Amino acid sequence: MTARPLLSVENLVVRYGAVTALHGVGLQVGAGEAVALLGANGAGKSTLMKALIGLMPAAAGRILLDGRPIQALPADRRARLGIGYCPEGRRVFPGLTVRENLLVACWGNAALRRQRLESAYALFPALAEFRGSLAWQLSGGQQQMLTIARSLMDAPRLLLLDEPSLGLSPRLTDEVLDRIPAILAGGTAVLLAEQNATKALAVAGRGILFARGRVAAAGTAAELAASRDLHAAFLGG
Amino acid sequence: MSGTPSQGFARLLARGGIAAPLAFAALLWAAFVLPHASDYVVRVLTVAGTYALLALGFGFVFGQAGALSLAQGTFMGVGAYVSGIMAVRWGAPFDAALPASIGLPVLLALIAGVPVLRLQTHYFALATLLIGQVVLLIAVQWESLTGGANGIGGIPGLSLFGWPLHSRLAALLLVWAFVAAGGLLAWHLGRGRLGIAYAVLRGQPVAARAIGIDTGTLRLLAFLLSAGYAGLAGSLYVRAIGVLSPDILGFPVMVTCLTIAVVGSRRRVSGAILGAVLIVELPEWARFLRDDYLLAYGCILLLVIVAIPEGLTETADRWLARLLPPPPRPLPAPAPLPLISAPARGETLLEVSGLVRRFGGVRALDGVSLDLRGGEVLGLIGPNGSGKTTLVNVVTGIFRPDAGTVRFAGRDIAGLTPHRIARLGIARTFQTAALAPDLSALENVAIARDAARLGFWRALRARGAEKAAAEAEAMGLLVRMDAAAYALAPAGTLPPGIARRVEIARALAVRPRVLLLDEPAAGLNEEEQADLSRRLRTIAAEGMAIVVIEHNMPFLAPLVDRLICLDRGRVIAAGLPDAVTSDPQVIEAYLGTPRTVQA
Amino acid sequence: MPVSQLLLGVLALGAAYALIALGFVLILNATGAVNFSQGDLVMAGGFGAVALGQALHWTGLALLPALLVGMAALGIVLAVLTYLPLRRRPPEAVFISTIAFGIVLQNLANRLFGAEPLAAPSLLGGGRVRFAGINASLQSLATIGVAALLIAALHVMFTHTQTGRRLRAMAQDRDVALAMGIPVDRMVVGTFAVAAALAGGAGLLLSNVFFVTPTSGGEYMVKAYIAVVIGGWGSIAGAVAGALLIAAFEVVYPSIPLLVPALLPWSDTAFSQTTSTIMLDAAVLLILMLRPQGLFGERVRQRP
Repeated sequence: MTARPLLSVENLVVRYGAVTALHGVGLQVGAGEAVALLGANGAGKSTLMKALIGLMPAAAGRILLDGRPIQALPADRRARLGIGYCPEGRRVFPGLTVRENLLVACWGNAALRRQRLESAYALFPALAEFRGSLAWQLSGGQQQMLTIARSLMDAPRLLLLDEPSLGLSPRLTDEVLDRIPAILAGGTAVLLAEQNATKALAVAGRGILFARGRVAAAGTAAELAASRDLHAAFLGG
Repeated sequence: MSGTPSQGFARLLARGGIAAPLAFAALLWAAFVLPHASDYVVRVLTVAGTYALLALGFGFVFGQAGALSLAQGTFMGVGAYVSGIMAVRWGAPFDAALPASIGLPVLLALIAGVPVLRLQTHYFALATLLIGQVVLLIAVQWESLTGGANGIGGIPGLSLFGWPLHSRLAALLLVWAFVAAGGLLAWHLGRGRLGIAYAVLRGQPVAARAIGIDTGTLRLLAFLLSAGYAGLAGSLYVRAIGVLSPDILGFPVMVTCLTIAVVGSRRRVSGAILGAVLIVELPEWARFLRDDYLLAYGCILLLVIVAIPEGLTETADRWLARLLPPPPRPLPAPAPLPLISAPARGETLLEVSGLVRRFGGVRALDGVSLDLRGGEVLGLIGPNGSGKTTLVNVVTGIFRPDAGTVRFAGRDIAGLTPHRIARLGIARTFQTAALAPDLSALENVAIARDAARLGFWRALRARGAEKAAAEAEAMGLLVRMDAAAYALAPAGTLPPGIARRVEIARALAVRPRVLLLDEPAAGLNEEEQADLSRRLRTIAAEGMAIVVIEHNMPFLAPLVDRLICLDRGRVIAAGLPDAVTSDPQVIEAYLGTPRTVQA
Repeated sequence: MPVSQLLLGVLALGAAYALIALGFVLILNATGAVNFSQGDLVMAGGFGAVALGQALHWTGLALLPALLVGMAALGIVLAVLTYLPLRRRPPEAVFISTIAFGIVLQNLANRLFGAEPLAAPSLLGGGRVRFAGINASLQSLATIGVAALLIAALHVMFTHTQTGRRLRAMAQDRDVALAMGIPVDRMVVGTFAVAAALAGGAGLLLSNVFFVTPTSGGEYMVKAYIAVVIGGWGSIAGAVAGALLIAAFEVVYPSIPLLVPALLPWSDTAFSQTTSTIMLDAAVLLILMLRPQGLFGERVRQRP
């Protein structure tokens, strides 16, 4: 990759008290790419996502967004710099309507807000139908769509998608992951953390395999899907 | 016993924490300083004793049950008023008035407590605040009885069995004798299974009910005990100072009680006593504070709740534990426990028929029926919102069905409370392992063995050995679930796979015949999943009926004997796994078609 | 006494109560925490108005801006001392820290002003106005006007502006709000400042009619709490409705013997102000026992 990568993580170390969750992780995401972060639960994928957006502090290492170090910035600053975050567990704002959930994440004037709302409804038509409903009333799949749409409302350059399939039926997972090409086409790179390796590699161009807080393997989607490392890493736990 | 005195002292510190040195210091002070103390010092210490009793009582409702009751001061005031009025109207001495002084606050707590204890914190706090305000206003209004805003003076002092206690020292000793007795009772009740049950109630109230703990009764018990202690404190107080005034019903008393609990300790007896002495003595040590003692309390309360929220004694114990780590306790030998009391393979254990449950306008369950037989594993799948968890919640008693029946071993259980249903033999786990984080894995499992044996009188008669039997059985279950290595680890530190296994062990400890597991494979890697699958099959083979809710088809399909798919509250397919997974309706609603990787 | 006169009384009292309840519910919505010192902030506002009035001899309306600014500063202090250090702890910790702050305010006021009741200057000077058969004081009309304006402004802010939406979002999920770019801590401090300013305004209005003592805060706190509970925990419109209901009760109940002359002999006992408070508390206790989610229901619920 000759151009400077959009996201560059160097030797990132993250700790939970005395336990080290990430041991010097390094990876890169280029603009316009979709990269899948794979690995079993407890491997460190969600921890990495939280550290990238700033909800968890980094004990050591650097995070560079377009060459600029951001590991010392608070989460709200990083969001405004162009990182969208879609947390695991469908964390909508339950007492706000669908429309309000989308609006709070949009930082621009009224015209921009209208435009972005339309894009969100175009990406997930079901949301348009329920735009006036309170978010707690939506089904799990609708809530997941809402969290993704919300994280795109500030037109981020990078979207961190944390385990979108958790708690969703296989069919809904497909529906949700099928949107990723459209998101890429809109100019947002995607880092997708997923337990479901098969489905993730179907939408991503590259994959990174995590095990026990370290990068265990990396390669194109096809390479990883075929490799033995994938199976070994899962069984090794 | 061999060992130097310093080793013995270290052992004492390690076991009892800061309480032992504090008690020792108190005894020294009592022996050498007290006989020469002035009347004034003795009087302040007497008042400190009454507040110690108040704080000890508060420890039941606030410390053990975790409910912020703002009526504790009011109960003390009621006790004071009863004793004072009985003294002035009928010449009743202290001990004759005592039963009513304790009884009336307890009665008030009973009447008010039953409906308000189940409320969440913000409502419960308001309810207790209002009770306090009403009692104060009535006391001020009802001048003929209470002396109104001026109160009543000339209350006779303490007396026992007809012997008046003239000297201040004797009064002090009587008050502190009550403190010792009250403290001993509180300590005894808290260290057995009752203390553990309260810890589960605080940490995971829903899970507590799911393992058979009657949380409503336990909360009420704590509230009644707190009222009783407060009544005793009030009657001692009014006799000790000789004046009855509506100040005793005012909010400053509650603030003092709260400050003592926060500064000293919410739960520990030594903390309540230390806190009371410190806080009541404070205006005496710092004379300039005398007029502004409430200002000082406010500042201290703020400082302590921000900086040392657990209070002085627990923080001191924590430091002590770091300096002198307590000796590791030996693991109990596992006692084998047959899982099922009456193996019932093939017998229909659970019959659900036409179950309907609405929330607002949504029918979460719209006529669901299923049967479950002993020895079989039933899988429950379906999209989010299809009603899977609602079904489990209705069967376990968290919600009443709007229509339909639930029969367990032939008996209609719809509408029974969750803890009753758990004791009848239906156990469940939750989507996120709902273990009490500060208790060890062993304690979490052992309390489920004992849930049906909790109660005030049992706790009173209990001995140290009672926990041993339950712990041995719990150990056996942990061994069975291969989590024995983590038995003494605090449940909050367990890795998700282990926590899941401990939670299943806890569910098994209830001795169920039906086990309902909610997404047990979530958070487990493939090896752990295969292991869990094997264990569940073994448990089923002994006659247990198991229901597993899951999204993870590779885990579920080989495990189950039958599969049921829900969608929008209805059963859309039921039968053998292969048949259900290839059912077009199920594919449409839930499974989707498999995708391949782009080259 | 014509009903319209009673109605005016209810509106004037309810308007002031609504300002207190609003400040309370603002903090609740933005932080999820109960501010037990809201009533004492009202008391502080009242004393602030007294002090400013004694120093400057202006009417209340002229003093209002300075008072609001001063109270906003006090609100910032409150946020920094009692909420920010405890935001990740269980809710009862903030109950206790705000109780403590309230105690400190009360006793400082006692130190500085003594226990005698004092009166703040009126908004526009004394004076009465006659219309439609009602004899109304300028103060009550001004109270209704000021409160209505503030309430309307807040409602619009909360429902139709981005700031209002973000405040509501913050209360529901702090971490996710941060990840959306919302500067949560700054907005929390701002909310406390606004809530304290509202309390200050209420204090100015109430202390003119009812006088202020260091212990007045406790009563106002309980009323705000009740208003928010019966109006529906977290609902702004509900808080205002609850405040009006309380005012209605307090004005109408002691007036019952005037409307029903047969009950006149009991006006000092069964229909006194004290008994009125007892009846109100008992009614609220009953509501809590039978329908704790309030008369209008809680806004946010869990999807089961």
